[in-house]
Amino acid sequence: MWTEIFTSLPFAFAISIIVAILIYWYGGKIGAKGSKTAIKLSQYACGEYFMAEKLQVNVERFFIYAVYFLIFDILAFMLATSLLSPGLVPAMYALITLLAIVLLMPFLRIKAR
Amino acid sequence: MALESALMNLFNVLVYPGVVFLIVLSLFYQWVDRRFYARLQNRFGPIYTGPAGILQPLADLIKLLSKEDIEPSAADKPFFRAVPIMIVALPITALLVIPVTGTYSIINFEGDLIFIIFIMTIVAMLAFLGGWASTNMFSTLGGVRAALQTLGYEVPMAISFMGPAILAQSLSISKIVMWQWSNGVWTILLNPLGFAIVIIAFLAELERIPFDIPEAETEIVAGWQTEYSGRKLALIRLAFDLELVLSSGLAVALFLGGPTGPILPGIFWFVVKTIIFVLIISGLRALFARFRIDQMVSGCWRYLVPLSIIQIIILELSLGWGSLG
Amino acid sequence: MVDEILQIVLLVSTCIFAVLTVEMRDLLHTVISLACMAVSLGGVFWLLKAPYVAVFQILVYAGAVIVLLIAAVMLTRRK
Repeated sequence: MWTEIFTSLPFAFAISIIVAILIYWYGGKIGAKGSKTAIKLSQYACGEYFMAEKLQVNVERFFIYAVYFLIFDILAFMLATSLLSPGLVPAMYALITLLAIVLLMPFLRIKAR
Repeated sequence: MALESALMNLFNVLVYPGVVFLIVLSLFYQWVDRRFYARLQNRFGPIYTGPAGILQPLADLIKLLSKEDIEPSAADKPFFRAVPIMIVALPITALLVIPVTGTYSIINFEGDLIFIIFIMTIVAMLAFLGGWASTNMFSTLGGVRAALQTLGYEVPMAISFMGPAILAQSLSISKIVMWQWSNGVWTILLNPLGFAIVIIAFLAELERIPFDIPEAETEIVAGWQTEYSGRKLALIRLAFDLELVLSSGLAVALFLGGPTGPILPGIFWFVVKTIIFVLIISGLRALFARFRIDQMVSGCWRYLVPLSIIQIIILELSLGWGSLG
Repeated sequence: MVDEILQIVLLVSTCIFAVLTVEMRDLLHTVISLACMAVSLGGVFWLLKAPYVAVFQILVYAGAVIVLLIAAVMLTRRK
């Protein structure tokens, strides 16, 4: 039973986190301890002064790519279920996916405002 | 007997070919990358520390660990601290799934190709989270660009990974390497277009030029890594190199036959093949300029996705022709 | 024995992350806990010997839906 634990995925993940925390703690031990002034703790903007806020970025032009990603990601992984029987049926499936992406391409032109 | 094999497994996971060996290999690949990139730009790169500068990445890591760790007062503290730790832990876990010394990796199960794709997506999302938690405008912009870049390269990469899986009829990386070893043919000879798409997609995933948009040095200070300093930046740099080992190991295992070769032991062939892949990526770094984010995402969807689907169609039809007779 | 302990741990973490999704204030924290809940549920499916269901659960939820939710978080007005 113990041999299976050492080569299982949760144990490997636990070891990786322990290694990362070890390096983090070692850096804390040998790191320099400076003083905390207000200027040092404010955000870095190459010397200028900005308000600390969570910026709202306008990504409206990329929303259509997120929808395409959602659809074609699922289609791509459906190919993984066809592994044991290669032949005409998965080729037709891939052909229909190809037609879909080619026909949807004119909609990918980003309109400049 | 059970205790001996359990200790052997523990040694495999921790030291060789486990965590310690992988970290040493990642620092070595950073040296290879820096020397080759420098020679292509007609300068030298690291030559002083250690013989031929080979200890320079380790020196940089220790230097960064000993600097002061400044946490900005407006940052989101739990996420800000968790991102560097997770971004190192996830590639180490994924690297234990790739065959390094023989045809079988330490951890292998039937769906581990999809598990690795999932880990790569999570690492890109961690870049976005790190930028968002810093509450610096430049960091947020870099993080958003990292997330948008994932939308571009993820689908062609996943489709191209299905090529060797269809040939070997299995979703496990160890079985794909076993198939290439027992049939004596490398998968790159049967789908070369897939290999080209995988190189381009890995350039985007490793955030290297021409796709280093999230970390654009001349535009947005340092992208999503702006507010990280000291030990957190050391962990992020280490994760950068570990991702290089992960991507080259995955490409070599899927397309170039993994750690298998005629006379010498498997680890020698693994190092040689992955160094060839690292040199290809460094060479492409020195050639190109940086793309814009909308050029990158629309270019991926317009050119890379149809090409990868065409590769799958060719593969399926040729396999179906063989079975029809 | 190990499987049973792992199953109980994953089921408890699913419940904890589901409650955290509904109760947290910041929108991005809720998206992260939804992703962690989906991954825990995928792990439970894996332990129940349904590998394809686990793979597609992790892909559909933690891959695609989280990407969309992050995009939606950024398009809504905050405060």
